[in-house]
Amino acid sequence: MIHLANAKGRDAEVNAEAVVTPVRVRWIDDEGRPASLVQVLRGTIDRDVSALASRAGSLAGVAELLIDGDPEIDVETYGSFIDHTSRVYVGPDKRVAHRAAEVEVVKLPDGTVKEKRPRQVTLGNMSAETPLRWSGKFLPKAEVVHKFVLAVKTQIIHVNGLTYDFLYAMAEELEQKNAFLRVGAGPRANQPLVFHRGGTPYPAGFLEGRTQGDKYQLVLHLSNQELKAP
Amino acid sequence: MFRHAGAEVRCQPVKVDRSKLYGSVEIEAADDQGRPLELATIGPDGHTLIAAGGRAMAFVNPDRNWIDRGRLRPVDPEGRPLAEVPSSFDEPIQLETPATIDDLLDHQVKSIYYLEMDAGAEALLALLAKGAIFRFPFAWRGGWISDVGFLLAGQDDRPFLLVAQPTTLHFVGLDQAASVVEEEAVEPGAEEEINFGL
Repeated sequence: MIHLANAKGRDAEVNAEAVVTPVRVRWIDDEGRPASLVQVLRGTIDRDVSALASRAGSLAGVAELLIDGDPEIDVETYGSFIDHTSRVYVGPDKRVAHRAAEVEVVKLPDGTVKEKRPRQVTLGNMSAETPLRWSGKFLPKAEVVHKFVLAVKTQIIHVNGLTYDFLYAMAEELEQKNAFLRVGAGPRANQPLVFHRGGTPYPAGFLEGRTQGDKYQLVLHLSNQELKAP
Repeated sequence: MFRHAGAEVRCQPVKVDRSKLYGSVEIEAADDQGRPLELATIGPDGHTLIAAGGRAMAFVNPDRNWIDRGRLRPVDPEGRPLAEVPSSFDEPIQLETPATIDDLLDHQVKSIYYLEMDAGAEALLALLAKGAIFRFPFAWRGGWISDVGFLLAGQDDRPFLLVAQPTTLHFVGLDQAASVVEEEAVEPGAEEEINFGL
């Protein structure tokens, strides 16, 4: 969901639909049956090189283990389908760590460390109690596409008849102006947009609208990179 | 290499990402004793720790049995066979299809390349500086499908190649509500600035 306000300050919560690339290639077998890709397990930490070296006493000893058997393979689990995995921290003993102090290491483009600081976790602000305000800052489309990389898009869609009118009117106004509306979080619409807790902050958001008869297309383009050379 | 208005323009693509422009942020973690921690993946059973590189992709048939990729053939979403597409580096890319801004906005940008152009590109660069955008099929290594390449000028009128893919953007009417739900005081004028830094 996204919480938006229009030029009159009226606000509504509407749907924000992820914009994805549709499937362009499918694979079929020699009988014409569709094949699908799955993720399978092929290596666990308790059987990786360092684990085997610990067991053998040295890296050289791993070769002997491999000649004598298949210690790197667990026939019960390897090849099984895996999904819904999670990321965890593990310690030097290869056990899950349940407490971790995280530090952000900020590096300059040349790789040198600029600073170290406590981790800053971003908070989602697109469906917050305060709506994303109508900034009133219109930017010509031709100017924006040559200045920013609009890498992430989300399509904004009504949830009922009232919000259909609400969003259609926005799309129509933006189309008539042939411009983007600058969108940002905060009271001045100038703070980065973040979809969810821990999500990527996007310093620049641009709302684009088009209409086609009684249909509309309202898209929020997000950018965290300028279109410029290093 | 591009071919435009009868002339060939050679250029070198240089990949551009955020880290090259603004730097990067890495996370370091330590336990209570200050010992470094590493990120790992835990399996769906809640206890299997998966090693780096411990996951692989495999094709399965509708019976969920593994099937060798060599026995598969690619088709488009309608089931029509696909022909191989060559690498865009095999032949000069014809710049003959202008693109509109809306055309570019309908695509999802995957990667960005700054183009270092050899001498002789002045006419093309002048056209790009006036706002021209060209589109063409683009495949880095060749394969079964092409992406869409957009050639346009960026800031300072420098040439960029955006490699993009089509999207699911669509017009919606009153009856077509969404089916998929996705998942202070400032200096005067400061609100006009956009801070891309870290």
